[in-house]
Amino acid sequence: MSNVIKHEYLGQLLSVPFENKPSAALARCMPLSSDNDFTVFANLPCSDAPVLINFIEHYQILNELVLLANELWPQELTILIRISMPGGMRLPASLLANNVLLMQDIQPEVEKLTGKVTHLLTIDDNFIRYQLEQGHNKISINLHSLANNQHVNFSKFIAKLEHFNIGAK
Amino acid sequence: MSVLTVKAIAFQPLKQRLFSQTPSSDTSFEWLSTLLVQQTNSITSMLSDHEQLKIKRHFLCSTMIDLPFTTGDISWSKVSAMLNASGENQADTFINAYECASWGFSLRHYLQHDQQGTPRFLLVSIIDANIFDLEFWRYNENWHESGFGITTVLLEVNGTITDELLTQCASTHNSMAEFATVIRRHATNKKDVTLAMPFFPEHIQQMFNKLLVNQTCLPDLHTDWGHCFGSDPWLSILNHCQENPVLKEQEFLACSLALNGYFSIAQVKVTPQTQFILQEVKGHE
Repeated sequence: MSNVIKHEYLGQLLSVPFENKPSAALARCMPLSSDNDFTVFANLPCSDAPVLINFIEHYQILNELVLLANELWPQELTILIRISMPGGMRLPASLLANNVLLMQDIQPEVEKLTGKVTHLLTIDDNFIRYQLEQGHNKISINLHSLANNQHVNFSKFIAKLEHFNIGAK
Repeated sequence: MSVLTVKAIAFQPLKQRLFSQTPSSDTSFEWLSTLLVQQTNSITSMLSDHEQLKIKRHFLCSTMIDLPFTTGDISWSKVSAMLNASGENQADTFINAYECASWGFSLRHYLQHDQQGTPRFLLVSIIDANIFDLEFWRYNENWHESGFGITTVLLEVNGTITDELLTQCASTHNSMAEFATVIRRHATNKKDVTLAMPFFPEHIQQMFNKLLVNQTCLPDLHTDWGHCFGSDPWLSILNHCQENPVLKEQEFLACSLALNGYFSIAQVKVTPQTQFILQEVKGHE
């Protein structure tokens, strides 16, 4: 749609997000019992990217990003976030709010909502939180906006990522 | 009366073990996609061409299908392509973050962006299938026996939603009791509403029965079906209305609770025209 202005950012989790802070060992594996369970797990694909983050830290980053987005765009903001399950723990309230939708793949919703809502913010990360998860610790953040003066706000939003050791690709 | 009318509910039961030997995720999803497409088509084919045009969305929800996606064994875009190769109105967005309550949160999302005043339809499917035949999913201490299947619900939205849909998260760690209490408070001001609760083992049923002593609840079908995740309330309504044909409009509160405390409660209307389809079980054993 011609009247939609898109702001894009592609980044990478460069190291642990909260340096010099202890990180709880939250990675769990579902209990395996039958021969089939072991065969399945032995054959699942896996990533060679490092595990730099746990569930709490991942949700903490998403929570802080959503709270900041709500401050920067207090009206008419819709946020789409890719969340890969299992979630490991209860999601923070900000992610359960009614201007947020969490899903496995955000693309279908992006196509439906671009140009339909004033500000559409998408957070699409592949941060690996435990050994079996697939991904390369990348993050893609886009804003599709019907308003044409969002560059400063988008830059403020992206600046926050440095706090978590996320750098531009 | 609720502005959410159930036009149809279909349930495709699946066996614990789907295949004699666990195939690739591609093959598993080809098989499951075919079943979901058939189920969707069996519902949409009952609508006139004009009514079919009113279908605005189709969400696919799940609680326990995550491993094939998380590990990169298959992608949602691939599954979506399988589904949408088979015609109109197939599911295009996959939501499992809210676990058993995912159907309610997807409905909330649709209603949030729904700008239309005219009656419109939406489809929500719920799929839970033990694709890798893992023991963990057959039986779990939290809900005992699991039940697997594919549910599709066709809803008509006719009017403006007021308090028909509740999507929340427990604020305590005793989410079972909190869930029952929220339902009790929510149902207090509603006349002639029957509760369709999730299926749980005896000890949890007893807690629900005690906390909801003044409400009318459909029977818990855990003994028959196991815990069927987000499908439970819809299977409960389907089962009840097949056994007791609907002669006049009835209202139900469809209630689902996720292990992490998210819950969805929807007040829906069933009419004598609502279609209920219980399909033959599929799978290996």
